Amino acid sequence: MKDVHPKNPENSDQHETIKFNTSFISPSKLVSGPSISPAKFPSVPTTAVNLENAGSINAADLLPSQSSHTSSTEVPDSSHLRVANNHSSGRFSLASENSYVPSIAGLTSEDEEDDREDNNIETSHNEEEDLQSILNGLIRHENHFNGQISHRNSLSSPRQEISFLDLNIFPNSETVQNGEEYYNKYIRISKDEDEAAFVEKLKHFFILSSAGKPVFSMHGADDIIMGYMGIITTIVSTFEENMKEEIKSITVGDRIKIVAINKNPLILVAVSQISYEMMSFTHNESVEEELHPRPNSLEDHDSDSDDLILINQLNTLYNYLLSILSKPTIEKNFHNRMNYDLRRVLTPLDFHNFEALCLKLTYGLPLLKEGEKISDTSSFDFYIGELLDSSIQSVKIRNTTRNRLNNIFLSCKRIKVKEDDLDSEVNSDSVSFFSKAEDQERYLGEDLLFSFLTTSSNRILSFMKPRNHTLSNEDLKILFSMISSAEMQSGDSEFTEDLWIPLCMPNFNPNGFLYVFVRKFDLSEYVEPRPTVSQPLSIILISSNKNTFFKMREISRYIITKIVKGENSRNNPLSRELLESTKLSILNDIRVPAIKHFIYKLKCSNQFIMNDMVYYNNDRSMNTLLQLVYFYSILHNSKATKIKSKLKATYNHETGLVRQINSSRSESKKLTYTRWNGAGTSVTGFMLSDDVYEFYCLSNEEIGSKDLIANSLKIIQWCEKYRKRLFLGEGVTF
Amino acid sequence: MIEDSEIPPPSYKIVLLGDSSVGKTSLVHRFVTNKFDRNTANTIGAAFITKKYSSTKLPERSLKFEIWDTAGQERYRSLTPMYYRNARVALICFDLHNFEETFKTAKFWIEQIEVNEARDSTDPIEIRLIGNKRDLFLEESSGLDEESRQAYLEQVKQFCSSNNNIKFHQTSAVDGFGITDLFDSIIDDLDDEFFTAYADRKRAELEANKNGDQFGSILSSRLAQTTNASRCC
Amino acid sequence: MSGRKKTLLKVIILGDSGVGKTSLMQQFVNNKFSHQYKATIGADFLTKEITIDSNKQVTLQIWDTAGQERFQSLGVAFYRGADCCVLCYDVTNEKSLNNLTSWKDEFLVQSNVSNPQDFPFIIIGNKIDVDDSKKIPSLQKKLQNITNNQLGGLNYPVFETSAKDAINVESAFEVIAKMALQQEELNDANGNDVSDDYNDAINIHLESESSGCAC
Repeated sequence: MKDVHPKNPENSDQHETIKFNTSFISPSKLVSGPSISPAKFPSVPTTAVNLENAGSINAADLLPSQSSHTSSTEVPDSSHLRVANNHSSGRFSLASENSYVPSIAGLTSEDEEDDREDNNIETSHNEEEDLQSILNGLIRHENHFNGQISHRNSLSSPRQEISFLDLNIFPNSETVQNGEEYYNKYIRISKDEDEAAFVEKLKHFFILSSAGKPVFSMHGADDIIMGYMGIITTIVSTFEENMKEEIKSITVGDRIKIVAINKNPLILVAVSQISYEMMSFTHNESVEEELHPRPNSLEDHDSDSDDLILINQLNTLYNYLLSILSKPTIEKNFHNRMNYDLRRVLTPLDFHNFEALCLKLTYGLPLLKEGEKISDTSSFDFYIGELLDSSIQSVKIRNTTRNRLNNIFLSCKRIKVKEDDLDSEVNSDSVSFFSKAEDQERYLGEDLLFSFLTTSSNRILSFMKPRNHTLSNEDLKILFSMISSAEMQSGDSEFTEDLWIPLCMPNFNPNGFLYVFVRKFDLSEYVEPRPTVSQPLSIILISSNKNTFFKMREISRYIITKIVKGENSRNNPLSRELLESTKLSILNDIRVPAIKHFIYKLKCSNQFIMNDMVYYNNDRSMNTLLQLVYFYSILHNSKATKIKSKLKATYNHETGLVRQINSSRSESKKLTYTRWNGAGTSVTGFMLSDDVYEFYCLSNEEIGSKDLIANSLKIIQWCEKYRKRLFLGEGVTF
Repeated sequence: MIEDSEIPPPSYKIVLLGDSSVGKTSLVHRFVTNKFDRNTANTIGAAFITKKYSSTKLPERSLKFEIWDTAGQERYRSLTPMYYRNARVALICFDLHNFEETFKTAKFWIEQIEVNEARDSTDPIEIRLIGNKRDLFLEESSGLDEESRQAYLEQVKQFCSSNNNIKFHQTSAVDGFGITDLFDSIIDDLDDEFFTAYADRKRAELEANKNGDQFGSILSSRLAQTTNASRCC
Repeated sequence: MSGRKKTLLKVIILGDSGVGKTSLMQQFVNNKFSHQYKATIGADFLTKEITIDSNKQVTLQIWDTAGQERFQSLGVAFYRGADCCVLCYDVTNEKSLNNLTSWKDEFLVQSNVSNPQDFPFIIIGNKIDVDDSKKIPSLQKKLQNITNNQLGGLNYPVFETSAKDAINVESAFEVIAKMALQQEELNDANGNDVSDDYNDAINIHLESESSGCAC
């Protein structure tokens, strides 16, 4: 790391430290021309363990969500739950101690089912007291007033409502009248030719070729950015050619951070003036780190963790390019000629998607048109997911329902068709009914790799994967983003529209394409009486073979038939469940009056749930969204207080129990408490984590430490209790 | 005895090809939903849309159109043979309002298809040339004078007559001009023989099935076999 | 959106310091966005949009390099991926004329272009507005000598201009942009094999055994 103290001729008494974060590059890298280097980004192990990479891990070490339920039989009405462990161990264990048959009646039996599943946590009263005393200590001694809420207009009466400007999340908050003005000046994407306005924007992203030709810039007209691209190329090359170093980041005081990654033949740069992006990205250690030490894509210097947030963002942008072009295509184009202009192969939609990515990576904000209000919070969900190490958000449905759906998927792999039917396009009109002498039967779904059933907001209800392949959460994000940006009509009986999308999944294989079939259908069309609100679901089938559209289409029709078959029975149809699951409100289920918003992440499966942001401030406005983004970023990135506790949370793999047992080893229990105070108002933020979970919550009312802890634990226990419903398990494998 | 009404309409596969942003997706959407959305985004990969449609003039003729709406962007070019393989009609679309560039691409596509067809001439694909965005083309403010317009249309005419008399349609997804005419024309131009041969064949199949199992039950009975087999132990 | 594709060309300006490149460029381009970085990082960056053949819009990303010794090592960075190159000399300075050859050679070496024979160069002689007496004696002859013999006899277009009259500069850039576009089209025709753009990510045939049972 190099520190430079430049003398600024205009303010000679101001010395801002400029830090350069570089790393030595080997001489071979200086050869001009594309080099193929492995994509470097931290990849967090995902929901399913990839046994091939895990070396010799005993199946017993696997955490319960991985050893959980796969049923091999498709029996819709009575689930004889058998659980098989991964094949390589040949072991056999049951998730629940007794096999059971769910009864047909309503919700009450559901509760019984859960009780019998023995998902209770045995918490000791001691734990609560322990936490409380620690928390009190923190409040008393450290005076943990992390943030001050300033009140810009101090003459007015104390306001109930805080504006994000009051929190001073962003620089220059005091220079504008209101949130909208601030947004337009500093945040909103603008392609104006006004260079002064360009420079003011808080965040910039640049993608350029190593020749300095622009590929993408978040802000600014072409005229403006041409020059900046040239400068960036020059600076990057100066380090490479002159100093034999690869520049990674430049920090100016604590005001501005510039991070660059070299993805030869492309360079990606992020420039940020946002305080929560310049923090050190401290991972809360998760259990799987012990099982799967991260590959050396991450050097462990402190300086690198300072840049991680922005590096991750740049990698996300780069992955988008990979997903539409694939690595070989990008490299081939530039290999033929260095002056290649990559924009030629990008569409207006791609630029739109880039802009949307820039905004949601930075602020959790959606890309809005002039005057448009926020109508859905998927960009906020995305931001939180990225914050929590690329977590994905789950949806709550009953276990039996999930199993039923899983089984439907599994049976897809067994649909047999005659050989000759396979070659002609499979279509119920054209299937021949006359069998030929030398018929061979093959499977309709032989090229089917991954299948998903999702809600309209891309939450997974059920999925199926091959035993030895997996799609990482990063890949899933790309998949769902792409599907969202492909506009589709949702299952209108008048006509159907199916999509066939070639997509490269960078973590899976950056050198080739998979083919994604998507069909939307409206579940409400099959329910009597027809509900007023539509319930669109998407079937996503991923094939390894570009010529299998019609097979996938046939499979999707089969799936829909199987799903809607049960819709009119009294057996808790899927449609009703979906309606209920969208209203995840802990506040309805348990009394935690002061906690307005929470996030619960289950570490072993890297998934999270959170409640609707409307409960925080009665709206889904930009103001609320920016505050939540800020608070959670601070809570997540701040250095937490470690708790030495006599208690340790463990899983019992066979029974699926979570227990607090006595342990002399201190383990990774952590806590963070933060309070923002200002004129007449305060916001309390709390983070609690251990081996099993990460929990965050916010309250914008006065709340004492006792209530804070008690309520938090209540929520945590509720999440534990309904873990199987809330979180996607391993899915089903074939 | 199978009634005529029990016979489903024959499938008819159509593929749309042409430069990015000429309006292929809007054309299809206008045809299928009778709506137009100015904010239609670029197609990613391809979309497959099916719609049953009866000819306006000859309503007893109906087809189940199976339409491949392809992405026009250059990077998808190598995938398109997959879509026009087995298609009956290729609608090669260009933008009347952005004539030179998009007409050039249209000619490229026609050439591509003709080259590929030369290899396999059992059932040649019918090519129709579609000039879309007629509304913009005719607008006062389009920057085109009547002379230029005529010149462009003349170019198209010349091209079509020297290429097996390819049919040319002017269309507008914005106001719907020419779209039902286009699909009507596709149906109306078919020989009677196409429909009668299909009806005969289908009728025979359905008769046979009345006695045997329907397709659906074949499928599910096969499934029952396989799933029963795998219910283990 | 009616996509009129805009082409982007990276143009490198080379020549001895003092030939007047900077003031020439300032006249020509959009002044608003040009900053003076040459002394610090070795190049100024300018943008200009021009229209060729009445319908092709081209954006020129102009790299006006300093050419000083200390920025020598950045040659690779500057010249990499250039679409065309402008060689400048001062009509009153014979040395600057003679140096054109070494500038060209330096460029070709550092930029590593695949087809040096076809690479678009033009020559601009600046300060044409001065008194004839100040100009290089037998300028035309010497110029011919250089373009025919020294610069590989490739007949690069030559333009003479002055900072006070930028019109010729405009034509010069139009010419070189056209040359670059032609090259581009040739490249397209040759190297644009898209047939293997869509490799399959997975080649194995998956076993379709039934799963979920370990008995």
